[in-house]
Amino acid sequence: MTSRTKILSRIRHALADAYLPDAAATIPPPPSPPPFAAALIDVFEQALIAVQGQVTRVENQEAARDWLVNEFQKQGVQKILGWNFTQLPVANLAASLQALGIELIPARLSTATRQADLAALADIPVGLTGADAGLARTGSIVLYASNEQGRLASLLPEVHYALLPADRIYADLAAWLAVPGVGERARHSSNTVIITGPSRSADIAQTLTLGAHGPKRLHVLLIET
Amino acid sequence: MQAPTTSFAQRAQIALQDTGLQEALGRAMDHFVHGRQDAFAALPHGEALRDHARTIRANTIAHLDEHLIRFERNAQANGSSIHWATDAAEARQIVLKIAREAGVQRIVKSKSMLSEEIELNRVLERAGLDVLETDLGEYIVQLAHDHPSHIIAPVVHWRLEDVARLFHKHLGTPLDADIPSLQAAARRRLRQGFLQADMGISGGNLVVAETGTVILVTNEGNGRLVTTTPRIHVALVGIERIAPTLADAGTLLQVLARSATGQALSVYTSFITGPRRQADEDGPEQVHIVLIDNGRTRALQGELAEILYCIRCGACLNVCPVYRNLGGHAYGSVYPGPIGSIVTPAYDGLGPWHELPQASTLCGACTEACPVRIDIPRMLLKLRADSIAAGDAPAWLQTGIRLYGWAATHPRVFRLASKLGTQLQRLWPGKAQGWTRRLPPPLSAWTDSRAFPPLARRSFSERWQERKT
Ligand code: SF4
Repeated sequence: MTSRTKILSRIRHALADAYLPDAAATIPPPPSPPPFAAALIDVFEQALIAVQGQVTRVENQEAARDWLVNEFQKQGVQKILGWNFTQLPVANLAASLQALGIELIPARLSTATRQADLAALADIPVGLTGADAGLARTGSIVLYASNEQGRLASLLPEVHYALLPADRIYADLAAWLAVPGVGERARHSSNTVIITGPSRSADIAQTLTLGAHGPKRLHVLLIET
Repeated sequence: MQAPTTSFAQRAQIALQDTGLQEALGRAMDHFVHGRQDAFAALPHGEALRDHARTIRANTIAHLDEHLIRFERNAQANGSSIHWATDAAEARQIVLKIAREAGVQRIVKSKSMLSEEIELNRVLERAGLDVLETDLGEYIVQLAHDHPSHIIAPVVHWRLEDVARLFHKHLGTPLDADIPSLQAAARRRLRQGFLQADMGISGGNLVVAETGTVILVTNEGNGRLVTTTPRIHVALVGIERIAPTLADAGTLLQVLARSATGQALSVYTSFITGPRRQADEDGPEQVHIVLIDNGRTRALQGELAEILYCIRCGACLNVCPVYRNLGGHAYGSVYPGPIGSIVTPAYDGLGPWHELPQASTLCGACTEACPVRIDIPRMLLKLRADSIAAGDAPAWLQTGIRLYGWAATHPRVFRLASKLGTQLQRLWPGKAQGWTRRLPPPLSAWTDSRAFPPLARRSFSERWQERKT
């Protein structure tokens, strides 16, 4: 008998005798919270600030581009680990960054040179990604992995900039998961991450410190239209 | 699970003498408890969400076999490999075999209590593999050859000075380094590990039957790194940690983070749905999921099955008056606190663990805090009864209870004994504020740790007789 059959038959055997209080025949729909009084974008902003995230609102794509260019210039950024430009919700960003001599490097690991590739990406100080959804209640952003959306861009650098169009904000995790097709999309992506603030730890003396392993700073650029 | 060689009472004595430990624990536990209360207060449908989470867990366990089969099918369709392990030894062998076949030398791990439960590191290290724990707390535990003392905060028993001394020795940081510089030093060291590792080992907070997904939750981001940079990812998952759908998982995640650390959501919640797709930029090339029984089907049989609803948030530890005074090590099990006092004997048998169900005041704070409202006191009582039936209680208690039982069923003897007791207690000196503080042996076994209420001058049955007439 394989271990699989053994475990499954143990389960069936045990279930005949198991006391399982409150096991309803079917799972009812989840409780739904009252809608927010404030606009989702405001709820999102407050929630993200509460978890030590940073937020800047910009009116449109052009303003977003100007803000990024200015910010990168100010910080003296030369290399960015990022998603493909086609996945960033800001038009003509490639040309503007190129004009400044800033290089956008994809988080690409090839099978043969995996560890060398990683070593080359590890010290890029800035990450730039889009966000496939925002969750207002928790101030979270959702990022799918794909052939144009590398997961390391939101993970290795010390600072992570994420571009979120306001119309992608849902009330909360449950509301986002209830959108038709989300399950399918998550299933087709090998990795979906929900990010709620910068990396943190409180393991040493129960004291909060940011940037344990991931970004120390998470800056979300909210694009209003 | 490795049973300790000392008794619970001995270990508790040691813990109680460590006043520094209690101070640190008290502060940390208050912090967690208030965080949880605030996080739920901020949620308009928090209580309804807890009820819903309980229904999900109950219903899932009631159909566990079906969900596991569905999970397996979907995970395989995503390209993950599924392995089944009946016990700890088999689970260790599976991981070792995966490592050997893929020519692995360096392993990074994110925090997994299940890997502690099956004592994985010992076997991997003996096989000559480099194993690096990357959760900051677990890294400290590994460097110091210590054990986690809390399922969420492994080094809650460590003080800043102790960490500074440890890092000074291993990482060369100054002895008076502050917390940010200690953390930065660990980050540098562990980042090196992430970049060089061939294999990442993680736990799994949940798996999702509908999509074949493993859900992993961390705050530090080490969980993401462990499952992204190495070419192989192995996830260790207990067979009970399954949710039927993504929506169900969403409900559980919302109550999990709030109960564990008072966060609305943990910083990183990863849905891992197979190895990297061919065109993906990054991610592991192989994903292996090891589904581990190791006593869970034993727990499922009978009256302790409800313990499998647990989502390991740690809230019951934080509110438990016994845990708050002793910390985790006194329990002697990988899983301390109220949850540990049930899962340990439920998985492993009561024999070596019969003292654990006694380590409770039955105050019910655990059930009140539990996001899925598990009736912990009910199961502690059940285990206590089993333990007495198995003859685990000390002889004085067994004899005492037998004598009491005999007297209580013989009214004349009972009346005589209580008269005698009332007379004798007048002469007995060990009283304070009306309570008897000291009794002669063998009754001193009771008064050593608690006071005895005085016998009433006139017994209940005497007064009952009077009223009737
Ligand atoms: S028993 Fe309840 S409170 Fe305790 S760890 Fe499990 S889910 Fe959390």
